[in-house]
Amino acid sequence: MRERKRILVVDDDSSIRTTISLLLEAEGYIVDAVETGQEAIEKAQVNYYNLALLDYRLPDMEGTVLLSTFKETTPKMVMIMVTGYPSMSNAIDSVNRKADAFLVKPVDPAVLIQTVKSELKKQEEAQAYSEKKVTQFIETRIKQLEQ
Amino acid sequence: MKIRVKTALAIGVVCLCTIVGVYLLSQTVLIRSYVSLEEDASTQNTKRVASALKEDINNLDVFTNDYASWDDTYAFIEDNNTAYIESNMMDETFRHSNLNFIIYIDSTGGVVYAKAYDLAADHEIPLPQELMHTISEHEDLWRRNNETDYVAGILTLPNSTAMISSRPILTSDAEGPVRGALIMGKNLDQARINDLSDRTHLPLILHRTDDAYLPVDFQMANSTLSIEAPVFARALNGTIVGGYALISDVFSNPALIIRAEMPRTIFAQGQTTINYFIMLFSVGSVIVFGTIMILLEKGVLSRLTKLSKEIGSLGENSDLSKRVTVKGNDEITSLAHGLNGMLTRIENTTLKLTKAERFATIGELATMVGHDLRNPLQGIRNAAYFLRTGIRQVEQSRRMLDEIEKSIIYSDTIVRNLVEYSQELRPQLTRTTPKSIAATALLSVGIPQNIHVLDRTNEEPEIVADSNLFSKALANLIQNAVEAMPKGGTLTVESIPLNDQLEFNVSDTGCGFPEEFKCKIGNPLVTRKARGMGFGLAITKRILDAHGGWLEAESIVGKGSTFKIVLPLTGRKCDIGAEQPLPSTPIVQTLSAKREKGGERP
Repeated sequence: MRERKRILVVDDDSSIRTTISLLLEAEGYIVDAVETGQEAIEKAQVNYYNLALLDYRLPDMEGTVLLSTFKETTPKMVMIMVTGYPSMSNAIDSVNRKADAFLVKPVDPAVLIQTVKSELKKQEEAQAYSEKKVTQFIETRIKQLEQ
Repeated sequence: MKIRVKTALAIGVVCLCTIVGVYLLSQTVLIRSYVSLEEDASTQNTKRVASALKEDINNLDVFTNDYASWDDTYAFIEDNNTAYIESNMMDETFRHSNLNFIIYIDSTGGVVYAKAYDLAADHEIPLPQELMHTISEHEDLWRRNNETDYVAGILTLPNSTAMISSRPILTSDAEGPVRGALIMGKNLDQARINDLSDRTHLPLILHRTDDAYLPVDFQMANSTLSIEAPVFARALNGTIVGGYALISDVFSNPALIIRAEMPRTIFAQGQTTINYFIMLFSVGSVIVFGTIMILLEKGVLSRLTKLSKEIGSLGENSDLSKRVTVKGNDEITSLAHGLNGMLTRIENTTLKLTKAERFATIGELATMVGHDLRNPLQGIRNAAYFLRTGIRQVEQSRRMLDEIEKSIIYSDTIVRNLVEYSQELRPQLTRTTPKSIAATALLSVGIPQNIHVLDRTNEEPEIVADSNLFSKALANLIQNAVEAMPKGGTLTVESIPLNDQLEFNVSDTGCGFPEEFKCKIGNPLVTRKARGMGFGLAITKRILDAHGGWLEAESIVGKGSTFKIVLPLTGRKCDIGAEQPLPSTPIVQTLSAKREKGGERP
C-alpha cells in the first residue's frame, strides 16, 4: 500500500477547518488543521506535510508570510493559497512568493480535491524523477568503481 | 446693516448734505448780494441827506443873492441910510428866514452893517467874535471881485459850524461895479440837524472831522471817506445800517461827517426769503426722500428682502424641490431665475450624488457581507459535497450536518447585524443605573464556563439613557471580551463615576490588539476576528453617539484589552421618554469615514 500523504490546513474559520479536514480524510489523506500561523509553524516543525492549504488572512499573520516561511523551512511542501479576498494584488503576491496554486473562496470542493490531487501527483513525479536520477547516478558510479 | 437701512441712510445723507450745502451757499453768496444791495440803498439814502444839506445852502445862497442884487442894498452900502436898516433888518427877517447872521461889507473890507440873532432865544445878540475873526482872516469870504464871484457852503468856526453865503452887492439888474459883499449865515446846530432829520425821515448825527472825541464808527468812516468817495454805508448791528457822508467846507476841505441810520429791511427781507427757501427746500427734500424710498421699496427693496427671506428659508430647509418666486422683468427677476436654475442643477446633482453614493454604499456592503458569508457558505458547500459523494460514516455525516447548522446560524447573525446597523437609532430615554445596565448586558451574552466574571458596577449614580440600547452597547463590548479569551480568563465590568461623567470599563485577559488597530475601532467592517464583520463596535459607537458619549480602548498584546465607555452626566437636557432623533452616523457617513481612514482589509 502506498504511503498516505499528510496535509496541513491553516484557516481561522472552524467550520472550514472541520469540513475540509473531513473531506480530505475521506480522500485518504492524513489531515491536521490549525487556526493560526504560529500553530502551523509549530506543527510543521514536528511533522512532515506534503501539502499545506493556507488561508490568506490569519489572526496572527498574513498567509503569504507563512508561505514564505514554509518555502524556506520545507521547500518541497506544496502550498495552495485559499482566499476570500480575490484581487489581482493578492494573486501577484502569492505567485511572487511561489505559491503552487491559488484558490478563491467559496471553492468547489471537487476542484479543491482535484487541485490537491494533481499538485501531489506533480510532487510525486518530481520526487520519482529525482530518485531515478539518483539511482542512475549511483549505478553509473558503481560501474565506474567496479571497472 | 440691512440694505433698507443702508439705502435710507444713503439717500438721507445726500438730502441732508444738499440742504446744508444750499443753506451755506445762500448764507454766503445770497446774503452777500443782499448786503451789497443794502449798502447801495443806504448809500443812496445818505447821498439824499447830503443833497438836502446842499439844498439848504443853495436856498440860503439864493436868498442872499436876492438881497445883494438890489438897488436899495446897492445904495445902502454908499449912503448907509437908516431907512434901509429899519425896513429890512428887523427881527422878523431873521425869524422868517431862519437866519443867524447878516453882514454887509464894503469893497475895502469895512463892515457897513452886521446883525446876529439867536433864533432859539428869539432876540438879537452881538455878532460872535470868532465869526468876525474868521471872515476877516479869509479874504475869499468877503472880497467879491466881479458880478459872478460868490461863495456858499459850510464854515467851521472854533466853537460852532455854520452855513454861509457871500454874494457881491450889485444893482437890481445885477450890474456893477461891485460895491462889496453881503454875507448871510445859518448856524448848523442841533435844531437844524433835527429839521434835516425830519425832512429826510432819517435819524441823523453830525460830527466835525476835527472833533477830538470822535466816536469809533465816525473815526473809521473818517479814515475810509475822501473827497473822491464821499459816501459809504456799513451795518452797525443786526437791525441798523449806518450811512456816512463827508461834507466839505467852503474851502473844499473835509469838515463834517453826517451819519444817517436806516433799518436793515433789505437784509431782513433777504434773510426771511432765504429761510423760506431753505424751509421749502427741506420739505422738498423730505418729499423726494420719501418718494425715492417708496419707489425703491416697491420696485427693489421689498422684492430683494422677499428674495433674501426665501433664500434663507431654502437654506434652513433641506427640501431641494422648493424655488424662489419669480415676478417682473428686471435684474432681480433674472437673479431669481438664475437662482432657480442653480437650485434645479443642485437638486439634480444631489439626486445623482445620492443615487451614486447609495449604490457605492450598497456595493461596498454587498462586497463585505458577501465576503463574510463566504466562510459559512464554504463550510456548507464542503459539507454538502461530502454528504453527496460516497457512502459516509454516520459520525462524520453528523459532524458535517452540525457544521451546516452552525454556518446557517452564523449567516443569519451576519444578516441580522447588517439590518440592525442600517436602522435608524431612536433612543427612548429613561432613568436607570449602571448596575441595571450591566446586569442586562451580561445576561444577553452567553459566557463560557472558563471565563470568570467580575461585576463591579454600582447602583449610583442614576443616569438618563435608553437602557435597552445602552445595554446592547455594553453587551457588544462584553461579547468581544469573551471572544478575545477562547481559552478562558477574567472578564471585569466596572462603573466609575468621575466628576461629571460616568465610565464603564470592560476588561479581558485575552490576546489584546496592536496599537495600529486602535484608530480603526468602531468603523464598521473592521474586525480582527475570523468571523464577524466588525459591526459590534460600530453599533456600540452609534449608540454612544446618540447618548453624547464615546468609546476609548487600551490594550497590551498578549495581556488583554480594556474598552471604556464614557458618558457625560451633565449638560444633557433631554426630556425623559421623548424620542431623541439620532445625531446619527448614518450608514453612508460611517462607510465614508471608513474609506477615508483607509480601513481596508487584505
